[in-house]
Amino acid sequence: MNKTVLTAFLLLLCGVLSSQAVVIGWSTETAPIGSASAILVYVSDGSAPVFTDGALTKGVQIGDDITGGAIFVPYIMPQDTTDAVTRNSGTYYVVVFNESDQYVLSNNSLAWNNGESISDGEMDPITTYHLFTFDQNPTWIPVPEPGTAMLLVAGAAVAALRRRKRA
Amino acid sequence: MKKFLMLMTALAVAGWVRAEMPPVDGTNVVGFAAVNAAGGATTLITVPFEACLNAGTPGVLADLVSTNGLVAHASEPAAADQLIVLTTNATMQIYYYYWLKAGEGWKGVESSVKMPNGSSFEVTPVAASEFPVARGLGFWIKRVAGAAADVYVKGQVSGARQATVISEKLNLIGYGSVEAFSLNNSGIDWSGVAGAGLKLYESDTIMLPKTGGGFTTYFYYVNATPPEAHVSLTNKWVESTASGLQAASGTIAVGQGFWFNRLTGHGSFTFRPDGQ
Repeated sequence: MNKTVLTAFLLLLCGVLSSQAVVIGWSTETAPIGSASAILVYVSDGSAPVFTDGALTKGVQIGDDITGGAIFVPYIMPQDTTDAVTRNSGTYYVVVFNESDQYVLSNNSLAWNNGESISDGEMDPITTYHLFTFDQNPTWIPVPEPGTAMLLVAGAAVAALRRRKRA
Repeated sequence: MKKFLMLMTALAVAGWVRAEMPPVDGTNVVGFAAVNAAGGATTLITVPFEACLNAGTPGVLADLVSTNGLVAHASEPAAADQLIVLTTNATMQIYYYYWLKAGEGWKGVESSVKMPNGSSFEVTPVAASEFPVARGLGFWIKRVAGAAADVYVKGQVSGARQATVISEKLNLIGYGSVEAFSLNNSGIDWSGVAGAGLKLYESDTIMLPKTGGGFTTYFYYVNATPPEAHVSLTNKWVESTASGLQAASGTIAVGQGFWFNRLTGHGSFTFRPDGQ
């Protein structure tokens, strides 16, 4: 058992060490009114990112938060965002937040193998910045609070207990 | 005795011929510049010199890079240092790869190689002795692991700076001078560079290789009515970070090449370090 765990760990370590960074060139000219910050998110199965309990539970954030100095609605200034892992599937999205900690997802995504906007080598420059698109006046979605989620779980548990007692 | 007389006669004739020859008159100075190109990495360099005895016309790749200190191999391109130059085929921009073959010089790599757009395929490069490289153009040098840090570019030193015509799309260029320079503080006339205000992604860009890989991208920022935060940045090369824009700083070293991405639809532009 220990050998299996050790082998798996070594394989994982080798994978991480052999992985190569890529740089994603992106921007937008349709950032929603009220945009205050943004992040780039990678999702391995290509579906949209999901937030649960106050955190990103489907997808991983790539790079730093894009802050107000880089946002002039409707523009987000071009970003060269480094992803430390070379992907072989999936897509990148942009998530924009407003001052009330609400978010919207980009309408489009960027495929992991886009050669014009993703640089994967020393001699491979970004020639086109991928433009993520948004609705200008979107319905902002509150990021679910951890407390809210806990209350929902507790409420469901209480309801289930009551049903049992009645039965 | 006869031999001695013949030798003396030959020396006398040689002396007379030498005395009759006019001295070589000129100011040609051949220079070498050391360019840092670490082993195990690919470095973008440029030649700051004219081709020897051929001022104003391009030299050829084989003559502009000294093989002194480079790693050659008898048969394996991957085990030798390589030069990589940008060119075009019928449809797209491609790279020619050359490897340093022991005893023979630069030879074309004809196996599948990586291209500027990230794809890989086979090409047949023209001979390195026929590939023109004008002063001010850039090319890559790919060093094998463990190679010494410096390579040497050579040619005829010229006091004048080199104007370089930049075509639409990607260009590999350099500053054709034996001086380092900065993008915003060298008195370079950037008239003709395309900027697009806050649509910065539509501006001409300069991509400078970073140590350890990747590029620092600089955008040319032109904005007739810039936001207050950008007033000092207009008509300058700027870097766009996660926290905002900042003016390009620092210097580009002698022999350091860089990408210039000229926007499609804007025609050619002449890079004029001499300001003329």
